[in-house]
Amino acid sequence: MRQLDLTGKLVLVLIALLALAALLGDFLSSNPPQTQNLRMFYAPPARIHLVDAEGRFHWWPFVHSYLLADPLSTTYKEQTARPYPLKFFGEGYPYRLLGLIPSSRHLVMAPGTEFHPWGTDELGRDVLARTLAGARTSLMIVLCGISIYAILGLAVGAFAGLAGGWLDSALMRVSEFVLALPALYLILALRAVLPVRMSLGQTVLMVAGTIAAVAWPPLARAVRGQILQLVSAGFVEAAISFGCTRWQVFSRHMLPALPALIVTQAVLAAPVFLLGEVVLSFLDVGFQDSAESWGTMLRSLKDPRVMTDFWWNLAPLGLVFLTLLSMNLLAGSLGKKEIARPY
Amino acid sequence: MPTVHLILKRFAQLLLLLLLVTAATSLLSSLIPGDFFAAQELDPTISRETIQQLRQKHGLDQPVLVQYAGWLRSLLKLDLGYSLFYQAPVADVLLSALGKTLWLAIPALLIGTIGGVLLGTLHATWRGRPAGFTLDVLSTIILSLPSLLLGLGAMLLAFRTGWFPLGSMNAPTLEGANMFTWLIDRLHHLILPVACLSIPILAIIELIQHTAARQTLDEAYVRSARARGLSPWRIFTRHLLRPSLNTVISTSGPLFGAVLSGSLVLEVIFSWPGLGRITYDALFSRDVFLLLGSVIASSVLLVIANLAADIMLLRLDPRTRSTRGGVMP
Repeated sequence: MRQLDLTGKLVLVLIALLALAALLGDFLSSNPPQTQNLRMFYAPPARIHLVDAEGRFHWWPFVHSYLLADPLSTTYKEQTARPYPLKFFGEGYPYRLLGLIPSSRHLVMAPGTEFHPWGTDELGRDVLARTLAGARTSLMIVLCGISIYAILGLAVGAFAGLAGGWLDSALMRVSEFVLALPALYLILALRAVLPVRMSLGQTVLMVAGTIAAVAWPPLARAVRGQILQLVSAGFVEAAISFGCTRWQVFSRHMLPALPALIVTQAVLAAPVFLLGEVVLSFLDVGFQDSAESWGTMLRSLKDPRVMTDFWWNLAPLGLVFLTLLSMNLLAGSLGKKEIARPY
Repeated sequence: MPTVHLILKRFAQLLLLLLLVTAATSLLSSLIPGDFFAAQELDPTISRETIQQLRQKHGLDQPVLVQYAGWLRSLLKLDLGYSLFYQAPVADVLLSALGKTLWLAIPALLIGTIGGVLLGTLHATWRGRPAGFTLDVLSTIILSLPSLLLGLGAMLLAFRTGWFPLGSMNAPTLEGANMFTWLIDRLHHLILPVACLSIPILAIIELIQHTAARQTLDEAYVRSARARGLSPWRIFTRHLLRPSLNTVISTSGPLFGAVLSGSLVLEVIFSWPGLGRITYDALFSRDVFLLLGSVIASSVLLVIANLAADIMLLRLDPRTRSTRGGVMP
């Protein structure tokens, strides 16, 4: 924290806000992410008005309800006869805030009509709600993946550094070898041998695990380097001469020096996990369509009409970019400009 | 001598990789029910006997260990098996797909590395100037734009403006056209995918080269070259560009893996029938031999790229020649 410059601190705040928005998804949107509405498929984002059709000014923002005017060309008309004023902190569908506190309050809603601030997708699901739920999935993947990555890298690196000899060189050969793998092809091939349908938890573990399995070598090499430096440090030699066991030397005198390194490497690897999930889900080998994730939402491009008319379904594009940008800025201000492998 | 050592090392890696991956893929895939012909079983016009005969013909009724052993035996004869999805030998399918992928990968690599090295070096010399600041901002933004985002954005552009074709390699109306029209059409189809593939490479190479060139700029020999009154051009090419190149070269091998991954995604987006698209189709049609073959093809490509990077480093940087095989930075 202390070594971060101003940009780094601002970016950290931005990332915290994004994570908060992901966690408070049910509060921020007034529609549940799974609910389908076939009368409202590909409905455009709601337009918030202050002036109604007759030119009268209203002091409170309002929306009109949309009516499917022509199902073939999917055109919607605003029913301008009746305004529905927006309501803040209104009563909506029940949910659990942060997964714990039961609540039914929502930030903005329009009582009496459907209110989709970012429009709907091909099944009439709310794009905003799905994007926020997708952010939650991404957060889960990144946290889960980074933990696997840190544990794997720390274990291999520390073991190689401490064991030395042929074990060390064998492990380093393995890490070189993993670095030279065609990662995405390998993941696709391995995906072929896993069952097609998996539960949400299994998918999170599968996606995070497969990416971690090809991403660990840089961390292991960095940890090994640090350990090798520490082995010759004076205080470690002193500890050995006092008769500390190997484990004591490692846990008391080496482990406390590693967190800074691991955090830096983890920040560098975070974009790989975020993007990895998006790419795998986009390629149909990650999450199922029923689970909300940015990658599955981007799959909607398979309907060419999304590209020509229903562009709001590409909302996750902007969020992926924003998240990647803030992660890269954070990594940059942590002072280590190394490359993370792009997919 | 170091070159031979390197080649041997890389090929030992390749062999190990192929054994591990293909064994894992084919052994584990037997754990999931169903095979390529499972979909045909639903078709009432195909009799059970026919499907059974087809399985027998392609050896899919054998135990998985026998299948794998047979596949390895034929691999020794450079026979990769038969692709059921494309109804052709796997080697033929892969070779034609490989060519199509190289149409994307080679221009993208050239643009990415040359552009990245030049921009990165210039960026380092422009430190503290408005141009340098602009590049700082631009490179941070572009580093956060991976191929997937660029590809979808490019498709959006193509759909909304109609300036570019919507994927595929050539217009279908081009049958029998002359060479020149064909080439123009191909280039027109190449613009978007190559741009989407090369921009992320350019950004990464630019970052690496920028960091390396900035370190080189601080070296005493650059200052002394300036003090001797050498021309800026000579300093740029001899004292700045060449010494800082080896960082880029040593990362360009692994970078080729990123190019392959990026081109897989772009091939799916732009329906480009290259190696990535083939792998993707093989995965979903459960064409195991084709899947194994494409993993092999991508690994071989990657090993060759790594090898080329290693050898280039040996040739270009005399410092790496002294230690036996020690080219790893």
